[in-house]
Amino acid sequence: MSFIKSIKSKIRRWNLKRRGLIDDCDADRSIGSKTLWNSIKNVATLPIKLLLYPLRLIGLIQTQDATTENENEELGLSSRLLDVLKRILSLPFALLREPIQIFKSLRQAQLRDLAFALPAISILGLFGFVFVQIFVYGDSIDNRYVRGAQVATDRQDFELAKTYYQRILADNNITPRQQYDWALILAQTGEDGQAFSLLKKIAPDDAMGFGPAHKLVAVSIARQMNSADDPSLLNKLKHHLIASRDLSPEIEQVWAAYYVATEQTDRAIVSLRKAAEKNPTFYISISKLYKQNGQNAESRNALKKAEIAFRRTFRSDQLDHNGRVAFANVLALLEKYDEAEKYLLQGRRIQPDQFITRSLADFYAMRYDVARRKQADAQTQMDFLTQAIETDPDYSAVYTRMIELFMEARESPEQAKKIRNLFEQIVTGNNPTALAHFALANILWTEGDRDSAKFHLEQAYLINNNFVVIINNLAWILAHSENPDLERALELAETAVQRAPENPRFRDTLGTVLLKLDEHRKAVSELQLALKGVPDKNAVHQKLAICYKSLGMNDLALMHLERIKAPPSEN
Amino acid sequence: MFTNLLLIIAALAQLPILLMYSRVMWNKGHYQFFPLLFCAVGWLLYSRLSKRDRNENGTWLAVALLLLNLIFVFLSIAVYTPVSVIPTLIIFLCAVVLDRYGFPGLWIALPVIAILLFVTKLPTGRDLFVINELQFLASQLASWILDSFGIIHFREGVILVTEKNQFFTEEACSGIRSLFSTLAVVSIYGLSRTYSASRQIFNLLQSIVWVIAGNAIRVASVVYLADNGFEQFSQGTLHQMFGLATFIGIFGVTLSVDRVIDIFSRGFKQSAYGEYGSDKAYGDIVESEKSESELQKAEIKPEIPKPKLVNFALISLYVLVILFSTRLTYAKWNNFDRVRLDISELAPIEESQLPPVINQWKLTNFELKVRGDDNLFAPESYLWIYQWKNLTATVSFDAPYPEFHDLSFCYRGVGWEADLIHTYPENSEAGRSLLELSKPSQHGVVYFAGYSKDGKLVRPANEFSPITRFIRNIEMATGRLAIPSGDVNRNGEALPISQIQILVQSAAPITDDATLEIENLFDIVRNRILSSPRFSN
Repeated sequence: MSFIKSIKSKIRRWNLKRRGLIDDCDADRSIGSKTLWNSIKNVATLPIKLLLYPLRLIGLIQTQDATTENENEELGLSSRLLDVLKRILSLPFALLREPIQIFKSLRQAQLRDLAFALPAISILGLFGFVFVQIFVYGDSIDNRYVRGAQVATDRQDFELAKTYYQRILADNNITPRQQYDWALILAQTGEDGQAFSLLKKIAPDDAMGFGPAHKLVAVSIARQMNSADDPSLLNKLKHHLIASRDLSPEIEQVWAAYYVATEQTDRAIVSLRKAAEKNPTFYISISKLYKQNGQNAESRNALKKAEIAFRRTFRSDQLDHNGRVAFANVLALLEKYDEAEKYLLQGRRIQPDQFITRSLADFYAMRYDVARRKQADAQTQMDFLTQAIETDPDYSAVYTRMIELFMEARESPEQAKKIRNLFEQIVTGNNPTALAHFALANILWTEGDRDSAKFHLEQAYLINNNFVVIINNLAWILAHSENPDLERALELAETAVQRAPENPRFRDTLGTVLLKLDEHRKAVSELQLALKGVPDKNAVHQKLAICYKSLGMNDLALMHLERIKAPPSEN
Repeated sequence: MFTNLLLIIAALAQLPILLMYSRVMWNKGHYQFFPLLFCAVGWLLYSRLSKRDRNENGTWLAVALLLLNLIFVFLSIAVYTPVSVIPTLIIFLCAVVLDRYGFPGLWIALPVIAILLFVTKLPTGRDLFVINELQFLASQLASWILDSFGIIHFREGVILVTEKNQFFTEEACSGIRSLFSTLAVVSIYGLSRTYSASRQIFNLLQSIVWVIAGNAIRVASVVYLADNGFEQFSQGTLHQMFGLATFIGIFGVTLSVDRVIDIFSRGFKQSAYGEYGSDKAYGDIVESEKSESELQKAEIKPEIPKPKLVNFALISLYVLVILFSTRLTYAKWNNFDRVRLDISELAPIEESQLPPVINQWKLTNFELKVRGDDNLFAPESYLWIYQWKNLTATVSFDAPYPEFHDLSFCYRGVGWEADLIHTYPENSEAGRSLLELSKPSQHGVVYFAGYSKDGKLVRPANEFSPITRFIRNIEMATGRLAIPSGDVNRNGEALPISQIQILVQSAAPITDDATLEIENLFDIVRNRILSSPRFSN
């Protein structure tokens, strides 16, 4: 009934307004305005009212909610239910009326009132802009990262490329090419394990994947491969070679390695010939293969082809040190030593750099090796090594050879003195090198002059503390001198191990120093790691026995002592 | 109905649980405003009820509520959980108001008392879940803002990485502190202005929107500023000030929108939102405008029991509860969530605690990492890196924690999808948890388990039954169980908790053989570490 009454009153009001007998405000006030907020209020409180009805029925609470416009009227349950139904049914009508109410209110609003809405409008506007950028122009944002990744990779800015790729990775539509590039970046930034796992994923061992990834995997397998004894490795290599779908010289070289491993020399030579058409350096490999087969004439022919090809390319680019060195290598293999030396010296004059200097030093070292093989006199050998040292005073391979020569020439005091004199001249010259001091220290240690050896090792360390072998040897000497400086020795030994954790000799030095410092538990860890690779295992077993005995583990100590083998008898 | 003495004793009975609640909640940044909220509630109740006449008639409902409060106080202290403290307090306040001011007073006071819900501690893990979700939301929105303005970056979970820096969206930056405190302040403001329910609800909803938006803008601004030479905005005092400014801004925007709503009420004598300047607080729902005589006619008048007997019974029960609470509070004085444990108290771990070779795994590196308390990961971690084939296993020994630390939150925070599986057999110390991780182009597994200071396995919270805790506390209060010495947490585990975990990542899914190797590695590593001086009794 009340619903019908309210409709009637509304019609009456509209008529009065239409006839101008009342204005808007009066009309609304006289009836009792229903604004947007009243409507929202009714909707929001309806569930609460429904909940409260049962409680009201049992008299626990009293509410106004069930009353109608006539407050004196007591309502029964059915009337209350009807009232609820009325409100639900009238709600759509109430909501339809609200836009008109809102418009009226806005017309009456002042500008300063609307100014209060500016902060909220600004924030909503910002997020509107953001959502449009993300959901409408999202593809252009993704493309920005793809382009950025490519540019960074081309510029070899791998850290920046990593940032871009991390973003691309989050997108599940990443392409195999992008995964491959990401793997390369991981490898460049030291995450080899992850790079390899990713490559295995896009270049599986049992299916066709992304070609360039297969190529990389094939090259990697070829480097690991030493013999044909591992058939699974060879099968994998073959699969990846086929799946790479590549005809570059690098792949032909890997094919050649595969054929060599499977004793198919002819096919290896065919592959290498294809590669050599683009890169004459491969003629050297062809020559070696022929030589292994005892085909000396063919081997020499291959070298001559290389010489012809290099002369042709060398004329067009005299600044290419890689080509020059490869050419010199071919000439040296053809025993045209003077010509090879001439080109290398020319390269050093035209564009001196570390690469050409090192190559020249290598050339002299190679001449020394040849002279040694041909059992030339010691003076000749030494002359070559001297030239090598003078060319590149910082080349450790030359010093190693020099020390070997010194060891052999000890029986000739004159020769030994000349070699030692050579090093002394370097260390007292205008450009003393760490390696010269190091070599001299080794010579003096052999002669038993430990104090002088220690002095020169210290000098070597001061000049260049990057050579790990110098750090290790200095630690050893400090630990074994008459007044050992064990703390410093420990610091140096730990540095050496940190830089080269795989080197068993360094682990041995560290273990020995820890043993001398009575840190037996730590010494055991280091010495165990040294045991695998040191040439003199007896000494390590001895030290381990001492450690275990100090730790009270006598059984283990005895076992290590038993492992000490008698030295082989000298014939 | 109730005598003053009863109410005083009942109020005293709330103190132990409030003490326990305060000690726990003060350590949680997003609840630290609770003292101010209590004051505000007290002030609002006083301002509303002081103008009303006292009600001399009692109701059974008030008695029922007080009894319910008694039970809740007992259960709260017996289970020793702060989760039920606020509901207990709400019931107590309702009982008092109902007794003193009747139903009209209760309806006026109910909206004010309801504000206390904003400082109710969420059940175990739920607040962490909310924080986590807000962190993700803030990071995601901030990432979108940065994308819209062309700033190069990527997001890994809750970490934003630019070309130069990494930014971790901490708990404080997630908006959780702004959210709870803003909701409370908006509610207090609305009640002081006697807003109606609909307007209150609207203001609460709009404040949530501004909290999320404001924090996202703050995170994006910090990233941009720190990357362009203003690193001081990313940490320290300026960062804190920036956060405070954001909170003020959020509240300001909420008020400005509220001010705009006034436009729709202008010109009407009867406000759409209740009556301006009126002492009627709850608007239109349950305000009774009938005369007193009519109210009396309409009221159901239950038979009023003898006050003295009821009061005496309730006083006795409350005294018993007070005695029990006091005893238990004393027994568990050290049993609260100590979040900041001094790392220097812990025995160091040597690298040689783990061998260089375990089965086929070879040790390649060892390091000690010391991080801050606010870091996503542990304050202190010993790391051993083992290698086998192409797999790298990071063995980590992390400490200190106040209880079992769920690593799924940490790994989700750095962008992993994580599935957590607990395996904790009864009466066994060999339990462990497993996280299976995945993200684009990567897979991973984490095996982890926590151990108390005395080397006992720590179980996840949901493995620790409240009933077990209840029985244990009863035994402690009655003297059947000795009071533990030293620091222990609420579950009776000796602090600090240390956690052992192994993380293995791979671009390819981890095979069954690899899984077996990893599990063997975990078992060996666990046994080795448990024999270290850190776990000596």
